[in-house]
Amino acid sequence: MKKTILAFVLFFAVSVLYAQKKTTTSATVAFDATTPKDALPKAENKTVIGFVDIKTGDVAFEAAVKNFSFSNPKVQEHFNNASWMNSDQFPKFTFIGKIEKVNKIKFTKDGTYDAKVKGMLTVKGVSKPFKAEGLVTVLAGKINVVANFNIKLADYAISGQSIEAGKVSREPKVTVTAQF
Amino acid sequence: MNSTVQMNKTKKWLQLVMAASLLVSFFLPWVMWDDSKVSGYALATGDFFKISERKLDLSNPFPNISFTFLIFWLIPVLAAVIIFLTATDRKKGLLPSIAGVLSLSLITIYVSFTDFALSTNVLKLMTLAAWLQTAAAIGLIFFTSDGNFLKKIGWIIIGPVFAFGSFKIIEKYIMGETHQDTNKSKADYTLKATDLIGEFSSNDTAANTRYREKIIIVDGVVSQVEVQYDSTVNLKFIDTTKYFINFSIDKTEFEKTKNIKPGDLIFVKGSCSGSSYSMILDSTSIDFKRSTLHKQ
Repeated sequence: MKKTILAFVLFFAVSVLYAQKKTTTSATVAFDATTPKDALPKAENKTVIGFVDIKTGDVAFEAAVKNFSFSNPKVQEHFNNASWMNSDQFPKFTFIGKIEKVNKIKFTKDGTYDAKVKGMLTVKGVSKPFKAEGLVTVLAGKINVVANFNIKLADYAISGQSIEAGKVSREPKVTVTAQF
Repeated sequence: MNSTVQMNKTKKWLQLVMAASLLVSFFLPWVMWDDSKVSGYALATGDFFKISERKLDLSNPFPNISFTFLIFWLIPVLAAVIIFLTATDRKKGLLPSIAGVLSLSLITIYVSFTDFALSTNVLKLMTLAAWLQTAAAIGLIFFTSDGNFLKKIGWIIIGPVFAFGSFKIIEKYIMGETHQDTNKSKADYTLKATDLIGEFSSNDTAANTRYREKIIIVDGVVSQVEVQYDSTVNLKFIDTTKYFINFSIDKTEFEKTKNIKPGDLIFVKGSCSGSSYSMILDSTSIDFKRSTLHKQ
């Protein structure tokens, strides 16, 4: 585990030294697990850490589970407790991957580009191969990234009576936005 | 005369059977949640919410008033007293009606809660004992209590109506509850950014225990400002340690936050989510949610 952390740290530390590597601490991850029976299970985290290497297409995101904000305090409490996300033991959702065919995206030229990203998504300690499509918009030197996708809770061993009772969607919609 | 005596004898036996059924079925399982049996006395003992928390992710929303559920112990107590009074041919007054109302109220709570939690055909989850308790409660009111037919119907209906109505009010209150506006919330702590970072960097575990989910006012010199395309503004306080504080201010405050720049001294208030190590930055962020600029 310590070697893995060291490897990541070296990778990102070296990366950030160069201008092609960009980070943000204000990316947003929003998920919507609402159903017709319950409109409460949706939340947003606006302090997500993101990284992109515009040369190699390497991309990564880290979202602190406890910083997802729900409108209802009870739902927030349930989300973090041991039978759901167990945020004390699994404090982050992470994604590490790569933008496919990154050379087709002109990061120095204003425009909107379709992008596909592939990598490993880790939720509650379970890592699974993951891919999604998104949009990269370059405007006045800023790179905006938006991706919308669904994830299957069962893939990450997330289950519970609320899902069985139809109060939490089995495949919540997730939206990731970031500005580098 | 003989038929009247016979009728009285039959009525007496019915009263004894109803009361005995009420007493016995109270201690039997009434509903199945997954593989857990929940008995009639579970609400009175507190086991009801212990099981619901474990099996249904639903805890007691008002633990401070759990003592009120002790009233349901009156069901078996009154049933026993009714058996004694019936056997000794004494008057029972309102006791059968009270026992019946309490019993039907309790059944209604079990049904309503199970329906809320599982959103399924509740009747399939109710056991034979629950049906027996219901029949016994109705029978006790009909065959034992005083009053005319309409009055007895009233006694039968009042318990479930009151219990169901109360349940729906509580459900609406809990589902409609929202976080208090941070601007109006009383701060649990007021700290300088450097002091907050200092506490986390010197003892991360203790700081998380102390500050997590607390409303904190932090003052300090802004190190970094990140303005998002949707007008959300993130303000960071960074020092020489590998810790930084990260506030996200909602777009509704953009007019106040748009001119903030690194080097400005500001006061920010929010709910602390604790610290989280970032492999990307090789730093630890102390994140805040529901944040707002604080007027001093």
